[in-house]
Amino acid sequence: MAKRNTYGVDETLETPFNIKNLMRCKPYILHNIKALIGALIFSILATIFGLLGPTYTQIIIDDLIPNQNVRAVVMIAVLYFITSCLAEFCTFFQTIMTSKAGHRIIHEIRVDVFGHIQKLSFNYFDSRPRGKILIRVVNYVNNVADFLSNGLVNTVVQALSIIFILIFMLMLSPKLTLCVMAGLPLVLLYLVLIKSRQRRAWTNWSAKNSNATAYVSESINGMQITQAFNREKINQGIYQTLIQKLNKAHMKAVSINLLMPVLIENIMRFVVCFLYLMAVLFFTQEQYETGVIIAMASYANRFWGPIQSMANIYNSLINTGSYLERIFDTLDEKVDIKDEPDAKDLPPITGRVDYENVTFAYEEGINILENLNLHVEPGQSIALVGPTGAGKSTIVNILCRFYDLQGGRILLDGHDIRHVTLHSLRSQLGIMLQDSFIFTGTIRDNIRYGKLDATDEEIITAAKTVCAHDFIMNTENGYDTEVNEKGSTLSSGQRQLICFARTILANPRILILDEATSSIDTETEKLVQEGIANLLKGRTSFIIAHRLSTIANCDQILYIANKGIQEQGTHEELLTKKGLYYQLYTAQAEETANV
Amino acid sequence: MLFELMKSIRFIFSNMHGKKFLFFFLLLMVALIGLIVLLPTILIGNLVDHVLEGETSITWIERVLGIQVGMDKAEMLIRYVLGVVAISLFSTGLRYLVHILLHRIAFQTSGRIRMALYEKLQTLSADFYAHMPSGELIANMTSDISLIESMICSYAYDWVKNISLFIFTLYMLFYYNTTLTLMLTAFLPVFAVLSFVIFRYTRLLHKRLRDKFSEMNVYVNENLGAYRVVKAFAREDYENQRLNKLSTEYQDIAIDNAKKRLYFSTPLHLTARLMSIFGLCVAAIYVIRGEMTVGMLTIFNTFVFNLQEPVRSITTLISVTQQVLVSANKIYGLYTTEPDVGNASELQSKHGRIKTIEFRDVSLELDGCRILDHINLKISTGQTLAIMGPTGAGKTILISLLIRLYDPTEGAIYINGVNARRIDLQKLRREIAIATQDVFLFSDTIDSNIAYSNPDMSEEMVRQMAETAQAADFIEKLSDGYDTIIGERGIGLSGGQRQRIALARAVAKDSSLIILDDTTSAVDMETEVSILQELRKITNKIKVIVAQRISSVQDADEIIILQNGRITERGKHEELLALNGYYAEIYRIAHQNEEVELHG
Repeated sequence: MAKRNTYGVDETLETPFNIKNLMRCKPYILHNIKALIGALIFSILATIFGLLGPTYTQIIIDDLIPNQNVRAVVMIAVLYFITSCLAEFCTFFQTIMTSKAGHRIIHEIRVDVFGHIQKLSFNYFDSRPRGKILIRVVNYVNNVADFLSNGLVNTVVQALSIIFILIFMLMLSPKLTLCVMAGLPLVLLYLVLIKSRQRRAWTNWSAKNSNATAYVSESINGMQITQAFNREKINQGIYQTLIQKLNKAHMKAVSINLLMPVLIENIMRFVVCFLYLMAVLFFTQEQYETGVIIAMASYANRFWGPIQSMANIYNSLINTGSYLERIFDTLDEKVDIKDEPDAKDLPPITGRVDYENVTFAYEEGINILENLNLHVEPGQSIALVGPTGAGKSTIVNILCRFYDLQGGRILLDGHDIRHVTLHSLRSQLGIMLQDSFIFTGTIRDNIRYGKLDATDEEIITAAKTVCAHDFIMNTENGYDTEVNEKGSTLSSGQRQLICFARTILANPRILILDEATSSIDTETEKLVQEGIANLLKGRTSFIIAHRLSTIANCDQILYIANKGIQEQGTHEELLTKKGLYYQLYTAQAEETANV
Repeated sequence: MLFELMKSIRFIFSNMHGKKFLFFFLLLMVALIGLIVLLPTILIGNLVDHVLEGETSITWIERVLGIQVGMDKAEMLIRYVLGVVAISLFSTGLRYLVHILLHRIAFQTSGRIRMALYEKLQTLSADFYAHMPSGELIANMTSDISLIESMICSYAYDWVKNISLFIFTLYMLFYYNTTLTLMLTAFLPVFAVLSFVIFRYTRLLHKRLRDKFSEMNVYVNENLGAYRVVKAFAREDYENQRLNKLSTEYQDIAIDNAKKRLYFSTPLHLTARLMSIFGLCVAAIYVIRGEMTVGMLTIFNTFVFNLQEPVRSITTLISVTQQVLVSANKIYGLYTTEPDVGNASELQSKHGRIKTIEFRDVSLELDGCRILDHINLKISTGQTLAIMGPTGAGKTILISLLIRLYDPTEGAIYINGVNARRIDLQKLRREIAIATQDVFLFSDTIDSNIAYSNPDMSEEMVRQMAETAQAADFIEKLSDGYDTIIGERGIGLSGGQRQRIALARAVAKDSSLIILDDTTSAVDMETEVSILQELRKITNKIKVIVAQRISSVQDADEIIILQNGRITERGKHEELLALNGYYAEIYRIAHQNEEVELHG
């Protein structure tokens, strides 16, 4: 059992964000490089068309007005409008392309993150609240779109304009250019001073955001318990504290971000003042013309304008970084149970199972199973009994390779399950889990999950086998009745039957029933048993049950306790042995007989 | 629609709570700052004129700065520079302050809205949750609220900034040339109409994007909950395909929205450009006719082109504002959801321990199906009521009525002789402890889970309760014992272990009614027997037990058999056996099996 994370604990990141991590966005950017470059070209074109405007004004003022040429004025105006239309169309295409690039990039990231999460083992999901994973896949990914499209294009455009203006300034006067650039070291100094603090502030914010989301998510899922236990007031208090922490962290991060424009705007003004001071008071020998100084001052504004934009992009980079670090943290999560590099598909199996010296622990040092050995012939039915928590579910879970072993191996038809692909392994095993999960959709869809291409007849047959057909027909729309995860329109027993039908439909080579009928009434249970009797013939099966009456006919009964198999044999053998099983059995029989 | 909108907006403002005045004052300041930031530019213009060009006329600016004609150039320059520095520091400082305060208001407001919604969620009934996917509610509590935050702290700021800039520029144009400006105002109706179209149309765009977002959020949330099933059926590829499909659809809608927005905003932007060029053209003709000076034209031209900036920003703002309004509407919708189980207007003030419970002719319909049909029951302190019946007969629903997760559609439940509807919901639930069939544990320590009803519970008490539920043994074997953190679905523990923690949680609650809904289904029989023995010791409570096994119910004072929502058999164990009906049949199945096998 890995250490669990809760809403009260900030997640620590394996690799804190640094600019190098941004390089990891490269493949996503490269996939969409066409759209991005297109956007860039259109953006530059739009800027150039935009720059033509003042030229037209210049022509009107300098040439046409002195010549009193009204016709030409109108012509130029028409030309001006045409240029404007061109500029507008460039902007149009630029916007479409950035939006395409941005949304495709986040689509790719989302598919990757989601796909990676699907590969992760139970441990990952067991060790953190669901809300914290959810927010990464949906919200965080959405929030990086703007930076990875608009932000990138803008950076290039702004950088280009800075370079152009720099060239113009240098051509005009290198000395005065230095004056204009005098503010740059201040900006760099500020960045160095604030960098880590700013990053920390945003990282802290996103951790607090995760916590609040995790808590809300859990509150929603557990609302009925909360209501039944009158915990409303206390939970409000907890949520309030989380929100306060979130807002405090957000405020801190925002107040750092807001400093940047203040700083740049002031520097921009100071630089212009500095320029005039130097030009007039110190560079007296150069005798700058007024026109040059004025031109330089206007360049100074045009130089610092893009820097202002870059600074804003920098802010959003840091902000985006706090999302990216969590996204990449998820992508970096090690897949502990995966196909080996040379894993082969498991051929169709007959159902021979061998556990050889199997040792297993959820938590290091606390073994649940030790040196367990078990041989199952194809077609045998195996019952697992014993006290709760002894490891019955564990024995079947490791057969499905939901967890890897600490020692020993498990063979299926002689193939070590670790050397075959997970997909080929699990698709031949049908496990009916303890919790009955119902997906949003129709009852039909829920059963069909066991075999995606199943026909309606197959679905109905499966439902009939487990005695679910009758109650399904009694629901509002029969098999097309909409149900959902909480599905409280279905009772627990009904949900269990639907899940049972789903497992049956998959027609697995090995059927594993982990308390498949625990929530079902005795009478229905009996019918279900009769229903699946045919199905179990010739098929290896593992059955975990507490009502011993349901397993007496199994080929082998295993009594699981003390980290292994304590007793093994048929019902009769175990009864004559008068050991643990016998005790359990007589206790139950008495319990019933006493009645 | 507009009416709904106003309500959503009023809801947001009502959560600003005492900061409304400050909010509008700050927005006023935004307009003011818009004027102040123009000052440095004017100052530098004057600097150029006076210091470099030798201009001698004195304006109010020079008077404020103490600049006189014939002053030393250097001193003049320094005074101007100091003026620029001072105004620049002042205006940016002020703007920073306004920003910070707006953010503070935004966070405080969003915090209040979050709390208001959270409280609302707590009052909503089981029926609401059965139909509303959690993923959607989580989206309401996260991204929808974030958008409202942005509206208050930055979109509102941008609106005021751009509108005041637009008005100010228009005012300056009028100031310089009234007739020409009047001509330009002919374009304003075009702006208004196009803006309105964008306003109406982007609503639809944002709505469909928001709906797709919900769909994706709901799907991912469910997938994360279903990971065990996904892996058990090796359906990772299928799930990837589903996400891929949803995400692609989301992407396509987002891109399409961007396109459609451009179809509307481009004509608007072109109109703005046309207006500026038209202004320039007419002004040039005026100059040619001698009705305007070139200098005037330059100024006029600058202002005419300055109009474009706010127009552009406003088209974007309209769109994002609609996005916010779509979210605000969702939030308001959630906020105004009426809980179908709530407190009646007249409440019985009397409360206290539950001594008797009586169902008088209770019926319940859900989604048009009759779930319970004319149920009559009576139990009092110290008694045990047991409920048995086939799967889906309505057992769980019946006990849900007791804690008022639902209210009966016909008939009524009387508690101590008072209609349950007239008892304060909180006070009623305080008296009831329940262990449900579906075990939901919170991701917290085992200790906190058991002490869920009372976080101040002593460790000793928690231990004792765990012992009652036969959970102490396995808890103590965990490496962190009672401090072990367990997950949402209590995963990592076996089904039986989870049930026992839930049972401990229920018995730990100081209540006068305890309900056990098939709480021992995953517990082995031996442990169940011990649990039942422990439970027998509790005599000061009413006990309601739902079970599948005869052994769990045989000692009850009354056993009822529920079939298709109706009580078909009732009585004590022996009486029911004598009836030779459902109960006797179940008994026979269980008994027969044991008999056959023991001697078989």
